[in-house]
Amino acid sequence: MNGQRWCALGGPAFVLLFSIGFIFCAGFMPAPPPTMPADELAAMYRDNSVMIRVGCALMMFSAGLLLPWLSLISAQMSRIKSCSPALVNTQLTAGTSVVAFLMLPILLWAVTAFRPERDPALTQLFNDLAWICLLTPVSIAVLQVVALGVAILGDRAAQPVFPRWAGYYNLWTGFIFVPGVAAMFARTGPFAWNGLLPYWIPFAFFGAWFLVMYVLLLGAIRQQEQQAASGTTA
Amino acid sequence: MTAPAVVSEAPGKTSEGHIPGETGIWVFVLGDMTVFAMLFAGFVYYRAEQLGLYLESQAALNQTFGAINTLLLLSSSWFVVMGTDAARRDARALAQRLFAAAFLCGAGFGLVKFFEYREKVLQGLTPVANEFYSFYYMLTGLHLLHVLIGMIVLVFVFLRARTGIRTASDRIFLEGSATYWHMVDLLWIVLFPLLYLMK
Repeated sequence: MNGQRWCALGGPAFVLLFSIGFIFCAGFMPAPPPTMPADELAAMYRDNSVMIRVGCALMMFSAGLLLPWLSLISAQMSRIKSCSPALVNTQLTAGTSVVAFLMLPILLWAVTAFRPERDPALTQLFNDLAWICLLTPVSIAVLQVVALGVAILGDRAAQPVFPRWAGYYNLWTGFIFVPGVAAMFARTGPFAWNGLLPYWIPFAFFGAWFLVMYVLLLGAIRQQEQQAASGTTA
Repeated sequence: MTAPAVVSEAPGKTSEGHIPGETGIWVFVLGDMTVFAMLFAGFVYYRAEQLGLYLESQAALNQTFGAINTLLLLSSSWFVVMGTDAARRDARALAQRLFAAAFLCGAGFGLVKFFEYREKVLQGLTPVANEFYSFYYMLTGLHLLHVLIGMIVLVFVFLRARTGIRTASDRIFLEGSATYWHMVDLLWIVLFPLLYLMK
């Protein structure tokens, strides 16, 4: 059972490590605006070449921590009697895709900082790729939390694995991610990749989601242990 | 509104009070409205920076479509209130007719929105036309998504109304769905003046 608690730590550890890499090393908060001229952007990657890559390395390791975290969520979901294995697998595969798509911008930032003396137009291309990959593939993130939310709401046991409000909370978190797709269209304002909708709101609420789910997962693990100890399988 | 007569588990008018649906649906409703409130605040903030552009773009919106949709959603909310009341009195056939009417209002809303978007796109006013239209499509699009989800929920409410309210979970489902639909209505009531009317 202790192993599950380690998996649960993966979530908050990801938030901490990713934030250090993203905010403090790479300096991506706030994000470089989409309107930044190519030569300024190239200068940014040149001047911060090492720290951006240090940040990428940290973010890359942090993303890996999400895999045991996602597996734990699916393991606890499968304790919900009325939950179909299809939902359990949707959570896991959608979450895994999120990890894969998180790796992509990290690697693109690293590649851009790896040879910053290249043609600034290419730097701009890679930078565009990285940010649009980070914020716009929202369907997988939405599916992940919606699958979890639906599973929680379907739990009819007297002692549910997760509290019912957590089901609604997950559906709502899914809704938060949807506007991120706007970053494909806007270069300035609240819909750009450095704006309110694709950047600030998802980051704030996604961070909070990990902390809330961490507490809920610990509760689910404790319940599982108690049920195992008392010999019931409710 | 008359007190629920059929459901033994319904709290009714006790001193403990009655939360429509269940606590969880209110987590969702208040959370959802918080996000919309932030979007509305964002709209007002960015609007102040380019007031001329926003007013000029707003003038091109079709207020008739907006007004028809306001009427449709208000009517649908009324149908849902009456339908919930009918279901509580175990008037099942009436409840079903009222929920069907609410669904049709929702469908009408979607249809009007389709023609409204079509008109705008044919005029070249796409989401990338300017910042006002980014907001316009994003806010109305997110809201429309809520309407579509609500219509799916209303189908299940309609089916559940056939068998009547028998258990606490029937009551929770019915009231929770009605609560959600009213939220969709309420959001439009803010959205409509904000996008179409505010001077």
